[in-house]
Amino acid sequence: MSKSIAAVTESIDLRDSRPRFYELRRLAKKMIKDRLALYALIFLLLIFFSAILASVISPHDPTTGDLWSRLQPPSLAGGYSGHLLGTDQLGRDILSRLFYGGRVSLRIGFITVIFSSFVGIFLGLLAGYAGGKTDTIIMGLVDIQFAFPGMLVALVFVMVLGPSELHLIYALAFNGWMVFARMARSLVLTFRDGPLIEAAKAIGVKPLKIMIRHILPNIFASLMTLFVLEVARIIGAEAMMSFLGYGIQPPLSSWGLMIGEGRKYFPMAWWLIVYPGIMIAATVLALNIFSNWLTTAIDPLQKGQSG
Amino acid sequence: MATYILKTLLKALVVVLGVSLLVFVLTRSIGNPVNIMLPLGASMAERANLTHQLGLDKSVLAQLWDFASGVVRGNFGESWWQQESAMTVALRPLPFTLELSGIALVISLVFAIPLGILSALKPRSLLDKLTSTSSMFGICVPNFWLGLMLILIFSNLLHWFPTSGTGGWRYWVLPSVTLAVLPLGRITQIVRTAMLEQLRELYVVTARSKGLPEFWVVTRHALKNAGIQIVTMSGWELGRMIAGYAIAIESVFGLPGIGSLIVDAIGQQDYPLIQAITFVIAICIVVLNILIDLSYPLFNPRIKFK
Amino acid sequence: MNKKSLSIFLFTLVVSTSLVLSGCGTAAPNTPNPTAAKKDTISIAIPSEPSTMDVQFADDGNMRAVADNVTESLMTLDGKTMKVIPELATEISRIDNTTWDVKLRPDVTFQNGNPFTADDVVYSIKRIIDPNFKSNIAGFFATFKDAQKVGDLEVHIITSGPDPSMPTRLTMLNILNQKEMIATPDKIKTAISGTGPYKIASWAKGQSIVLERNDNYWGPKPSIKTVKYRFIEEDATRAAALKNGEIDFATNMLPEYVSTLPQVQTAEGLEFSLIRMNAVSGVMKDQKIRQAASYAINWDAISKSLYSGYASIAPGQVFKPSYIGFNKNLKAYPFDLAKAKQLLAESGYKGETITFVGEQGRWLKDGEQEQAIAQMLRDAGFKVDVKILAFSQWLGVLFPQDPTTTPPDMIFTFHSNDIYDADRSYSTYVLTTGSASSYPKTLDAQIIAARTELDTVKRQQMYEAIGQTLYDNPAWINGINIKDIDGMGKDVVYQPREDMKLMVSEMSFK
Repeated sequence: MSKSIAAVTESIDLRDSRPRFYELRRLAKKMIKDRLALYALIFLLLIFFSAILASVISPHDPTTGDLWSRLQPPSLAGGYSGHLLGTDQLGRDILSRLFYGGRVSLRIGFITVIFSSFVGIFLGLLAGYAGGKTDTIIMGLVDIQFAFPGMLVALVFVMVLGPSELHLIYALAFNGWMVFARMARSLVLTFRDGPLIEAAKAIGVKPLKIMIRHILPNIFASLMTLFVLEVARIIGAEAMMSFLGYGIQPPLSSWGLMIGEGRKYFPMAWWLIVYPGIMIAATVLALNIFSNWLTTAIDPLQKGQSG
Repeated sequence: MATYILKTLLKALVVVLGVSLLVFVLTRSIGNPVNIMLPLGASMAERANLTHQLGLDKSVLAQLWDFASGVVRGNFGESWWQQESAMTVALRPLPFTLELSGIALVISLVFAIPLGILSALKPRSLLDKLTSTSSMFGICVPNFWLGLMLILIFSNLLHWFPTSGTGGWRYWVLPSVTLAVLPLGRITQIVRTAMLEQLRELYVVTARSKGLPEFWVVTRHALKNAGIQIVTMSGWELGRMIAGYAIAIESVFGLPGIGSLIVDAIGQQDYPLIQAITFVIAICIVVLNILIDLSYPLFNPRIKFK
Repeated sequence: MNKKSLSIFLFTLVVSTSLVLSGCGTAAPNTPNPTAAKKDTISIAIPSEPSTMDVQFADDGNMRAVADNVTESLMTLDGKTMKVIPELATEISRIDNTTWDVKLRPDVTFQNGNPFTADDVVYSIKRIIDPNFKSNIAGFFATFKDAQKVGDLEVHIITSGPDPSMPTRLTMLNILNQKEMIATPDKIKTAISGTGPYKIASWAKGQSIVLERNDNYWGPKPSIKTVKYRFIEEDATRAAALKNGEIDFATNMLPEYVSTLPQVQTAEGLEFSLIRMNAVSGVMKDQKIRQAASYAINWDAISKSLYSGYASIAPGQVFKPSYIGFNKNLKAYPFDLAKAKQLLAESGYKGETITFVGEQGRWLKDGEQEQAIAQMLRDAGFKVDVKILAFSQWLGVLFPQDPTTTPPDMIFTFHSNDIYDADRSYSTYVLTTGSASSYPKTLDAQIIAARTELDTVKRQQMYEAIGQTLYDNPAWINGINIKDIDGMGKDVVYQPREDMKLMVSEMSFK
């Protein structure tokens, strides 16, 4: 037992003193060994860049439809050659809409999780570090909100505020902070009483500074994995809400909205639904794989565990 | 023991009240249902009239007081859209959703537990890799999309199952399978992780060296100890189904559950009904959580409630 | 037992369960009703479940699809000509400016056995205009002041002023049985008793409503004995159910499905799309700009591409020839992009942004139509900002609570005139006190005068004049009249009605 404690403290201290780039090289090597994660990362980068460069790489304008070429099948299945993945009910190019839709879905995913992670991590740090009543109150709040029916509350939020991207972000972020608070708090608790922090306290560093400059960098990596997972979850949630009609509104496109809009026509135009669905599934899958890999990669203790 | 029960009940109460209050404040301070209820040509006077009759011109606090005094007596008011007591309308489709979620949970458990156990017994084998991959897919595929795909293949192309609605057992297959996929993925992962943990424990080695049948070792001992995590996750997923996923599935398959009702109620801006449904669902989740907590002693008699 | 056998056991368990679940699927597909019963039972799918059966309370099309077969009114519309004809009344005449005499049909009984008398008529009228009842359709009867029983089969209806459309309004007033309503007032929410050809046999909430033929009906006996209504919200699902033989009749089909359905029948439908323009303030205030917008839209393209031709272009007004006030001299604005651009330039339009408000999902392809229109406006040189709102918000913009709020430059809506009378449209959208008006006072006096003009010829002329003025100085862009498409099995015989009422008594099997 004592051996492992020593190993932990040793590796933590060592980690603090290693130069940053060594860490990155280690991670990179590990990723190349673990092919699946590498593919996932490459896929994610592709999605990310296609979202940023959507206006450059899209063959057509995603909002301008040619009414005379509605519901054309993908080129491979016998449609117009100009539309690789076919057109939708207004004659808009599906491929272009996928790019722009990806932009919207990713944007919402990231911004929502940035909001909820900021709030959650801050409250979690506070609860873990301060302890006592603050801890009880904050964790009580977390417990209570965990039991809220999240999707229901989000729908009501959007119904009341009106469906728009910003309101959707509020609605989704509202129920997303708790998981960050919980994790941040438990991570803080493991570091709070370590020698590094004690030393800092002894010198007289202010609590806020301790939280931000000493604790945060150490728990950052773990929080990153949670961040990635949450983005995946929010992308799925936004898709569901847009599908139901309470998310992104036309003429914008998001993958979920494309599925919702395409429902009327899909028995005869399967491409309206199949491609956006594949994009959602693939993106969420890649994020999950990457997050899993991240979990095992950053924590030397977990390296030994199977699977 | 008594304090524990009290604490649990108190927490449950706070949850239910919290959600209800949240929904109430949101709906009453913004939103305007009067327009939906009247036909398109209604005059200004008609709107003002209806607004007054529904009590919407009072301040939010006054409305809250009216609502609260009603709730205490069990009266959630009358649904604006359906002209029946809101609670009656809200409770009516609940059994359906519970049944659908229950069937979906059973389906996922039937597959998840054996698969999870097998994977744990043979880590890194082909089976393990396949199980991990498929459970990953289960978690990542958007369930409403999966439902549509299944309808495309099994209803439109093959005509094996009907496309929507309720009726004989055929009508249940596609919706429950679609709903089951996500919990199946998650529960499989949990079973696997939990079993892996247990199988590493000292008592397993002891049991095996004693010559106990493997079947007993796995089920009677390891599975039982892993039970808490599995039950917690199953209960959690059941709750997520009732309060979330069922909404999408019921919409895709045109099913008369509480999920479709809440979507309709929101579309109609029927505040009393939305309030009643939120209350009902919050109670369901809270009760579910309590049941999960109460089941722990079954798995580990050493757990005491403080 | 060892690990190996344990694995085999668990594996077999998993495999056999999968087989059981999948093997079931190889059985025969869901069979439709056996041929023998099909002759007199029809299965109809409507978009959603009625919210109530109280025909006097709600404005619910799904409720009407069921209740129109169960209850009747004093007057009704002829299915083909859309002329007002007697139903429960036999004669109707005006005694003075505000009093009408109505003679009632003898030997009619309600489905509960009670006879139909003047008491029921008086009760029904009083109930629907009672402010405490808060009927959602009370607006149609705003002119009704009182009803009096004159004899067992005769009543007088008093209006608050001259109201030439009174008989047409009666087509929307269903007659209830006073005795039953007083004894069991809540029964109407689920099981209304009417005088019509079908009675409600059961309503399994969330699942179906079943109607049975009323063998004591005073009119011709309908050929179909039993009607089962199912509720299928998604258009594609409804069409699929029809294709699979799960149902015999599906309402509101999309033009894209037509080639895939066993049989399709259409009717002209009541709904006209229109884009109301703000003629009072903002960019659109300029008459030339509004005319430019009218020239910019290629309605023919929209009809052919979005609706596969199942839509006709509005003839310069949102009325059908059968409506009172239809001006036969008006024609639709031709699609003329050059003229639109020219008018826009002449008006001095400098590229100011025009807000185009719309909603989506309420009417057939409303969203698609809006986006197509916005694009066409852009092609003509307008700078358009499309704002698609949730239905309730959109309603709040179209019918603002506060009359001083600035109306949007353009707002899209579908308009159906339930009383086939120009007054309905003009009073709502043109009259400055109308609930959805963004037009200056110029036509107010004429509209009010025409509304109360009892001489039918004079009234018609007044409306034609108003129509002409509106053509030159538009309050809205006239859109298209979408056809109502119903899908049905090959053996069903039915011609959908112009008023979109679903009358099972007019249906039969081959």
